[in-house]
Amino acid sequence: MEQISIALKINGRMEHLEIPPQRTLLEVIREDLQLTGTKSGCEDGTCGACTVLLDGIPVRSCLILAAEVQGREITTIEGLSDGEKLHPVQEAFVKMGGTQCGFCTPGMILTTKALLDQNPTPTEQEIRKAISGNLCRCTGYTKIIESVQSISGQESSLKGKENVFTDYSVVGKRVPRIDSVPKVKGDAKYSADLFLPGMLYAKALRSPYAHAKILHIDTSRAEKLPGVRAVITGHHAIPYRWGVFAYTRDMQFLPTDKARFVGQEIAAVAAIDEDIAREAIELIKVDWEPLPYVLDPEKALLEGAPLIHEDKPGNISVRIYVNEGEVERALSESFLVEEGRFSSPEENYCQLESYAVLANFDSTGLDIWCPNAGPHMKARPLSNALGIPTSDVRVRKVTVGGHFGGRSEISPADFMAALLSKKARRPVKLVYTREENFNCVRQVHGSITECKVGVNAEGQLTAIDMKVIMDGGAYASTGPIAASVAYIMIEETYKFSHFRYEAIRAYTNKPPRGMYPHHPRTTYAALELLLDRISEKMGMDPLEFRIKNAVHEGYVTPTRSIITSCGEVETMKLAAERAGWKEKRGHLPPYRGIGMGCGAMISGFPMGIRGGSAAFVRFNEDGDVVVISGVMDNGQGNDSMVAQIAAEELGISIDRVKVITGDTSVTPSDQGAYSQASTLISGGAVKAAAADAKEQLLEVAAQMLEVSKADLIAREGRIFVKGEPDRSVDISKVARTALSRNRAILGRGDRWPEADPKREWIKNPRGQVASAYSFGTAVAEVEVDPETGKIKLLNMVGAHDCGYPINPLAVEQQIQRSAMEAGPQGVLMERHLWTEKGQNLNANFSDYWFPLATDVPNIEPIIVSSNDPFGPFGAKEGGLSISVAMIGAVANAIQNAIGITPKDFPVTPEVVLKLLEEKKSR
Amino acid sequence: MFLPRFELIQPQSMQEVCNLLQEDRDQAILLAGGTALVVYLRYRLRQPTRVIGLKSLPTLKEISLNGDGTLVIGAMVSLKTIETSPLIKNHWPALAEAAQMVAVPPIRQQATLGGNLCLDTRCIFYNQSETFRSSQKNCFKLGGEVCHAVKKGTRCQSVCQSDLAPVLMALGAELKIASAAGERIVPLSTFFTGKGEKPNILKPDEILVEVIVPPSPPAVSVAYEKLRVREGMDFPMAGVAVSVKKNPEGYIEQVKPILGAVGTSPIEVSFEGKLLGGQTLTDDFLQTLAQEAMSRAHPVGNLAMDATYRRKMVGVLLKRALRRALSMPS
Ligand SMILES: Cc1cc2nc3c(=O)[nH]c(=O)nc-3n(C[C@H](O)[C@H](O)[C@H](O)COP(=O)(O)OP(=O)(O)OC[C@H]3O[C@@H](n4cnc5c(N)ncnc54)[C@H](O)[C@@H]3O)c2cc1C
Ligand code: SF4
Ligand code: FES
Ligand code: FES
Repeated sequence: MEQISIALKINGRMEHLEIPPQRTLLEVIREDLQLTGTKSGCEDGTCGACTVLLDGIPVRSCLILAAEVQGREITTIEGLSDGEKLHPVQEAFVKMGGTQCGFCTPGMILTTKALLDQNPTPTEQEIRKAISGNLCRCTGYTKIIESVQSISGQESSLKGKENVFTDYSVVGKRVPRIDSVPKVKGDAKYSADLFLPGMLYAKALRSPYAHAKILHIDTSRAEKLPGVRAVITGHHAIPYRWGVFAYTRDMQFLPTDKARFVGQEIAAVAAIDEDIAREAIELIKVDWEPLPYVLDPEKALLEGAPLIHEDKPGNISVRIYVNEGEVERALSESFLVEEGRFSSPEENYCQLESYAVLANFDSTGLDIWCPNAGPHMKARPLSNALGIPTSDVRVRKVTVGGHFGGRSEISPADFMAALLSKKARRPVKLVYTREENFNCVRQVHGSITECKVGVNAEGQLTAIDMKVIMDGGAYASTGPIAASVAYIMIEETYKFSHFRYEAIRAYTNKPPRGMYPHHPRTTYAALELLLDRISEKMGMDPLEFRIKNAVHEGYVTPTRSIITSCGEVETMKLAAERAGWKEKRGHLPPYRGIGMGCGAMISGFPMGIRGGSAAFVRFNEDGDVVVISGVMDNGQGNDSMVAQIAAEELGISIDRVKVITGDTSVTPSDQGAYSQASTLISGGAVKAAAADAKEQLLEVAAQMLEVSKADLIAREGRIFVKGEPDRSVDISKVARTALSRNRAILGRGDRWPEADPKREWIKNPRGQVASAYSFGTAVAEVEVDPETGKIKLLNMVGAHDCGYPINPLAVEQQIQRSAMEAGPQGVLMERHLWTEKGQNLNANFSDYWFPLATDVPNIEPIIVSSNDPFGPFGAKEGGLSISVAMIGAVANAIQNAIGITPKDFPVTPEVVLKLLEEKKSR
Repeated sequence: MFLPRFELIQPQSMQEVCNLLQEDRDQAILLAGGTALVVYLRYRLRQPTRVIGLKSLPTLKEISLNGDGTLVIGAMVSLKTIETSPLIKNHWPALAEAAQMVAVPPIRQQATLGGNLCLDTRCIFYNQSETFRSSQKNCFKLGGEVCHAVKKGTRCQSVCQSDLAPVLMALGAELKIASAAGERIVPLSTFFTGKGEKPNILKPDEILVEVIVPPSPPAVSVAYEKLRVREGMDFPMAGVAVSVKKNPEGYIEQVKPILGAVGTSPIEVSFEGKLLGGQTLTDDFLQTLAQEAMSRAHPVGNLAMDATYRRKMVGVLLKRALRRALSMPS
């Protein structure tokens, strides 16, 4: 290949390189110079993660040929800080919580820096415009705006609305997350940022058909291509089918019988470079026999529909049926019944980090780095699929660029990289394109919901009858859970006794659908829209109506869960008050609307022997602490959360705590970042381990201070004799003394969910479902353009009962992220489009409408604490109730603005216009 | 994914560019800001053997004002420059506004005027990765015999989604085109062929050198309205540029709308006959114009928004652009 010599000035240093002329600046920066702080999130100019400064101006390095910018001044994120000293923009992002998963952060920071260089005091709108080319999936943009404003001395529109807590010394304090400094510096390593000596590059061959029999795969030509080191198909694997449950094992990572969706992986290649891998893929010949296929879930359930799994008659992947009380009777006796049918296509997670895996299989076993929500949950299926002991699979700690439910499961990518590495005996890296991340990891269910809601003359809910069809795609994935969450959230949000819920998750020839906080969106939208219609017809204020129907501590749901701590009514009142509900509802000009929605979340549901978490807390000789926990941080701040819990329990400051997490070779088992259990269960385990370590410490201190252990208290880094501020000893001294007395301080602890172990998603949907329940209320205000149908979000407020905020900053981040996910993403913009043949037409950020900073207002987060008896320091879960509640809030705001019920989601401008026409023609 | 292999040449003079183009008529491609082209390369929608980079040609980056008030903008002037140039903002505000509506700030920094006008027509079945395209038959635009968007279609109806083309047409702009054989000047209105397969008249050995915008005549004002879902990033789903002329009594004498993104090229609508005797801005009058414009639009189902909706929006955008143009000081 022809090479050219170029000289680039990057971060003040001249770099001389030999590159092929087609190499982009992004590739030179990331691959040749291994400055991996610059991220690749799309490579088609839409995400902004690859932003660098060219002569001080932000540009997209994925759209620039390196050879074209010789002699110009290039700054990457690594060039921003002055050694250890952060640039003021980086400092602001750390302090104000402007970074979460961190994947957008380098680009965001460079864009911001350039803005401030030109305009030191930008307005909020100017900031939004400047960063409109930098997509962020985690923050809802609010804290990014506030970070910028904090530098320029401008005031945030949320100023004066801070959430303040003073019960503890470390917990409850707004502290910068411990993971934020590496993220703002571009030091944090994501899977695609890793390089190992001798590493090969992998590519997958994917099905062009939605449904087709694989007659024969011929890999011989690919194998012979120089530079190719391994080629695999399903025939190289041992017989194994993956399923989250024993009864849902339906997925061969590389199918040998047939392909069930466009984009399904059929074979994979590892070669010495990406170009060769790509060429080799083209040399693999598959003989296909195309089969009839079905893309529509309702059609898939009809008799005679093409069968996707031979052993799943009727294409029913999962059926959940709950029937408590007497729904028919209760509805017929109700004072008022409202009903409707609601539908929506699928959504996507759009983690800003595309899926990437690095696998290294050698004689000691497999080391693997990949985005994950729980390393232990990957190790097990990987070991099964590879036929090696679980302890030979080491899922390693790596920074993860977003999860949102879509990183819950093992991915065929993990398996392909592992098997290729096993075969080639070399490390193998597989990085998905944006299109692959859209289609080949997981998507979010599409759905159709039919709902009836009854109420008595006093405005008390009597019965809910809900029938849901979910478009599950080609495999079961987490189907039983996914098809259950809606009814569980609903029966925890409102009080009513008669409940029938049927969810049928249909197989279709589309990519498989996984977990999502608010899925399916039509269920919550249906309920909340109907509730508003009821309250209107009854002449009740929707807020009063909701307060009247709210659940409370001690309430027992129709399927027999007892609600523990509950701040639901408070969230309703606070959200309404802050959003100006009383002044606005019913008093807004035409085409303006305000709406409310409520939601609940469960934390810590039973997951059998893998449902618990364990942790160690270790003292070093200098008195610093190391927390070892299986908890995984996907961007929500779990690392920081466990550090804060340990520091509080031990009476030390957070900067003395290091954490080692999410590594199956080092950390004990953990349930993973599912079921919103990280704080409740993993945090609880760390608290227990810290308490154990403290006990050991106090024993030594008691000897040193010659008092009884019970008279001691640890705080501010010292151990005091209670009531005697002058008698104390430094904790580091105690730790050293312990060592000198041949004793190592090593605490251990574990925590398990307190739920009914007999409850089962399909067979027995009854009993205590979770260990804790969180609640939230959202209010949104919109303005509708009656001519174009475009909806503008004017205000979003989310009040969430998190039990107790370990870190208010992180809880606010979660509330804002959830609000964004439900409102702008879920109600207004996001959906997929398909060709007749089942190809995804908008697997990119140009046509999949991921909201920009210019599309959303600041999101106001309100934290309510109800002090959960089970959670560590009273904490439950950090904000997900809002990802349910904001669906109702925005949907109701639209209903309020246009006086007609939206039925199809997302409510795009086209949909709004149709609604307005429908209203006119009535 | 890596770009396909090619040779990169960075000529230092126009002469050199023209010679290179002549030498290599079919295998070479011009690279301006690259914001469109690099994506095409990555998707293997273009596989040139030679790429001619235009960044080192300073003459193409100039904006100048001739003695007669004519504005001359070099093809390599960035959209950011157009958006912020005081000269353009003061005298051709609609052009600056339209530039500001393109994509997002960092892209406007890189994107050029020439690239925007030479932007290939787009289609949701065509602007896709190689993997996507490999699972469907080649359509007309790829040399095949089918259209995936319009069943039974007999030609390509991919969409001209340039935001600047309609505005520049409303402003009566002309283009200077050069080749080794010499230069020619053509009205922008004749630049587009209306063929999705080959959207503009440029020959393989030609390059767009500059855009010539005549001084805005007295009492004429121009406004541009764009339909998009997000406040940024999105290509236009429809766009309307309108030029209006008022007579001294305030009556509307002339209305010239150009419809963007609802056809293979910008569509010029003529209202001859409807304006006789001068008109004021009544709702009826607006509705008549909107109706006419809508009937001239040719949206088909090949973008991420419904074609019927896009057609309807042409009427709304026209009314808005017209109202706005009339409210501007001319
Ligand atoms: C995320 C994203 C959003 C976008 N949004 C919009 C939008 O909203 N509106 C819009 O109008 N465009 C949009 N674009 C498209 C594109 O960025 C712009 O149209 C831009 O102006 C193209 O200019 P460029 O200099 O980058 O062209 P290039 O990519 O360099 O070239 C584009 C084409 O023009 C040809 N060309 C360039 N210069 C000349 C010349 N002087 N003579 C002859 N041929 C030439 C090239 O050969 C190539 O075929 C978007 C692009 C992206 C990536
Ligand atoms: S309009 Fe038809 S022929 Fe043209 S690019 Fe689209 S699918 Fe191809
Ligand atoms: S990687 Fe360049 S914009 Fe996404
Ligand atoms: S923090 Fe912005 S994408 Fe995760």
